[in-house]
Amino acid sequence: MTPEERVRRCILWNKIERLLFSPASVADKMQWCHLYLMSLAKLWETEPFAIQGPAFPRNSLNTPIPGFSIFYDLSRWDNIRQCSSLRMSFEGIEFASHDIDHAYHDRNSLSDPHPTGVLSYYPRIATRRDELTYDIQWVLDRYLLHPCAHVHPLPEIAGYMGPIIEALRDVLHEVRFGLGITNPFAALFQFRINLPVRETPEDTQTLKETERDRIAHLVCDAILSSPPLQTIPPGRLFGIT
Amino acid sequence: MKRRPHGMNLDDGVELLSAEDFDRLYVAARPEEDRRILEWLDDPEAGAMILAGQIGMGKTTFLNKILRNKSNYPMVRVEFDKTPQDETQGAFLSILFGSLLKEALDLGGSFDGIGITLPDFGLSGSDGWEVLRDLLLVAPTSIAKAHQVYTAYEVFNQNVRQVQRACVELIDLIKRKIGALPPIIAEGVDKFAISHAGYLGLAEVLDFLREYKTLYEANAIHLFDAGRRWVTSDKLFIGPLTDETIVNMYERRLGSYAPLYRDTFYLLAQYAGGNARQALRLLNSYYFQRIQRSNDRTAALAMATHRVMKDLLQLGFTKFPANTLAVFKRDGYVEGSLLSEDIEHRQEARDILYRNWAFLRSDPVPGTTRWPLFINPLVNEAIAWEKGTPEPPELTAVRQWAKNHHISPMGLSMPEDDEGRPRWKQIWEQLMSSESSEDELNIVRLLEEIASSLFSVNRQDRIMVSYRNPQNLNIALDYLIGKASAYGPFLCHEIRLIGGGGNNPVATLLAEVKEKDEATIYGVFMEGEWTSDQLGALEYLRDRFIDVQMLWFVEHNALLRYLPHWPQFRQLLRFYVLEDDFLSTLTKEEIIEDLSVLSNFYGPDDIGLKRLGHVLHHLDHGD
Repeated sequence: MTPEERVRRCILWNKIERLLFSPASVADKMQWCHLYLMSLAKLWETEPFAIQGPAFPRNSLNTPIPGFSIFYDLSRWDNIRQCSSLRMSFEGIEFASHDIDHAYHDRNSLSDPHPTGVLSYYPRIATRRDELTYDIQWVLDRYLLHPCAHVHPLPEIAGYMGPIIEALRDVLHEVRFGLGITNPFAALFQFRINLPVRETPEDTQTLKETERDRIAHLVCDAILSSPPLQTIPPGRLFGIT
Repeated sequence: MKRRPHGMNLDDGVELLSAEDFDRLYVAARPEEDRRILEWLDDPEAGAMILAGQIGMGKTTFLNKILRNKSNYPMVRVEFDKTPQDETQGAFLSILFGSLLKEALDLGGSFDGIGITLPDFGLSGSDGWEVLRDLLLVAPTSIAKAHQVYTAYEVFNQNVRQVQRACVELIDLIKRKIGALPPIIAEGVDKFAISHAGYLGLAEVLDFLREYKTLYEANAIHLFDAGRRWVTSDKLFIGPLTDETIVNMYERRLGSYAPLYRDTFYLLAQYAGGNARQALRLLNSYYFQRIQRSNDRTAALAMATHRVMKDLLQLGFTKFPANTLAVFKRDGYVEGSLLSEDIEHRQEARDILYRNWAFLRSDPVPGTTRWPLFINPLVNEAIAWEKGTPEPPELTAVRQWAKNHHISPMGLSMPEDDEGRPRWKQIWEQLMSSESSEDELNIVRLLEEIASSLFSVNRQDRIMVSYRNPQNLNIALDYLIGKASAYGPFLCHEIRLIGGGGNNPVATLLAEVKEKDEATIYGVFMEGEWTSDQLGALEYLRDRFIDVQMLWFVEHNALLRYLPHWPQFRQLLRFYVLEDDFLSTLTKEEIIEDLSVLSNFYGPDDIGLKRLGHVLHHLDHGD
């Protein structure tokens, strides 16, 4: 990676976060969460879930992994000190809480470039869309599909026995929960894109890449539109409209 | 039905129909039966044959699979369970005649001199035979059309011999065209119990078909209707599937998620008893309990077996023949004569098979008359309990969970005395009493239970909700349909069916659901006092609704009276009871959020928005 690529991808990363994972008003957040929950079954190819109660500021989602559910609480995300938590449970027992507390900065936030003028980093008009798309895919891969620091659920946690374990291990290795995500909407979104599985690891990867490419296309269009979009409507983000 | 290419494809155990269904979900499990049917089809001299099995064993799917592969093969398919509007001999004969006419028309030919003319049915010669074919085979779209059909049935009723001769003429005509006797597939005979009034009229037509190359799709109990000519045909028995086949079905149904559930497949298969529909209902229910309800594996299994037992088996609504079942369980077989000749016990024995309380394993070993049999695993424990019988620890855990939670008086747990023997009196009392608290649902729980059906274009399920307070109905439907539209552009088509003398609610229903659309939910309200005949019509015409998404509402006490009439129709349904205080768990915040989100997608006239608006108004004002 060249120094120029480093810089532009860093800015692009922030731009993507603004476009996809930064609903502004309460109504926007409500809509984002509601449509998020609604969209899960379609992408996962599971039975539709009934949404119980308001989707915002807190609710929970059941996943296709039996016994594994996620509760999220975004009620303090609008505070001056932004906080949120995504609590993961297995068989009703909470085993981890992905807390985000912006009073404690992570290393990247110390040099957080404002994502203005993204296009100035792609000066060649003839190749702009291709370069931009490639970089967006590159960022989405590292942001959501395969975050640098991640955990895999292991089959042993479900008490699976004997030969079942090895078959499951391959499947579950394609499920990655990023540990360093500091935006709760992005953290929720990574569950959406990481939890569906296919028969083989390769097929699972293909599914995720297809969804990544769909989103990359939306982001690219948003950046290249005139005037550039400030946010991508959640209906489009979740493939509902 | 749309199917998901990689993920889950659950349903309540409906037949497979489309190429997509078969590609994704079919498990070939009956090579010997397959071979025999193919031989029968290819044999120009073949006589009549009965394909018989109990409800839910997969006969229709098995037959569909074979006939799909022979789609270019000339044959006459007679849908006795889908087309007739009445249960008289004339009605069934008209379906046969119409089906023969259809094939003959496709092959081309003259119908002069067959012994029936168009004016016999009030048609003119210029109408053409196609008009008569459509009149007899296509569901009427209006009351006037239905009247025309009934008039035609009357003509057939009064001229049975003449019509039979006309049928022979048509069979000969087809034979001349194709150079062999046409295979006649008599579909849906299995929907008619021997004790059912309609069976008398149907059996006359079946007897007539005995002389031809007919394949009867029959229930196992029909094999014991001794004295009927058609029952003397060759027999092909469709028995229970192996556990391995059921597990393969589960693999296909869960698609790429199967590895995550594999540890439970074998246990579920043990409760399925080799019955395909029971197996799929168990999987469906288990998945719901495990994922949506977040129960652990043991609890989900116990709840699933309880739910399926209540939905599919007719326990508690009729006298349970415990003694006969105990003998069956002890012997492991039933004598054929008990089902066909023993006047005193045969009805009870037939009921046991017709209601799937026991499953026949196979037909008798040659030279014997004993039909190997086992008790349906969902009721097995209640028949003759054997303390100390070894069982897998998982099953013990499931049973203990059920016992601790009082979820079932049958099957999984039973009241026991100090010595561990079943308290039979208490069991029967519990069976006859009202449902457990698990069955009464507020609106939020009800939504949760039915969401996967109601909100999915991948399924067409039928839910029956019973209520005690009729004032709850409209607001309940508003809520459910409003919620459905939050998941997609669903339409609701409301149908009010008034039972009782002089009414024909089933004809009304058939006319209303003619235009089938996967994005339409039919809200059906059963009102008035339905008669036995009206309830029976739903029973034998059940497959007409197999691809329609329906939400039925019926008064609770009426439902308890109606259920005994529906040993088969109930197989298409799931049953829930609406609490009287059903709105107490609903919050205004939830409805406001739904309205806010929906208003971004739909205009103010959207039906979902309006219905949710009604709910919000109700929560605000309580009216």
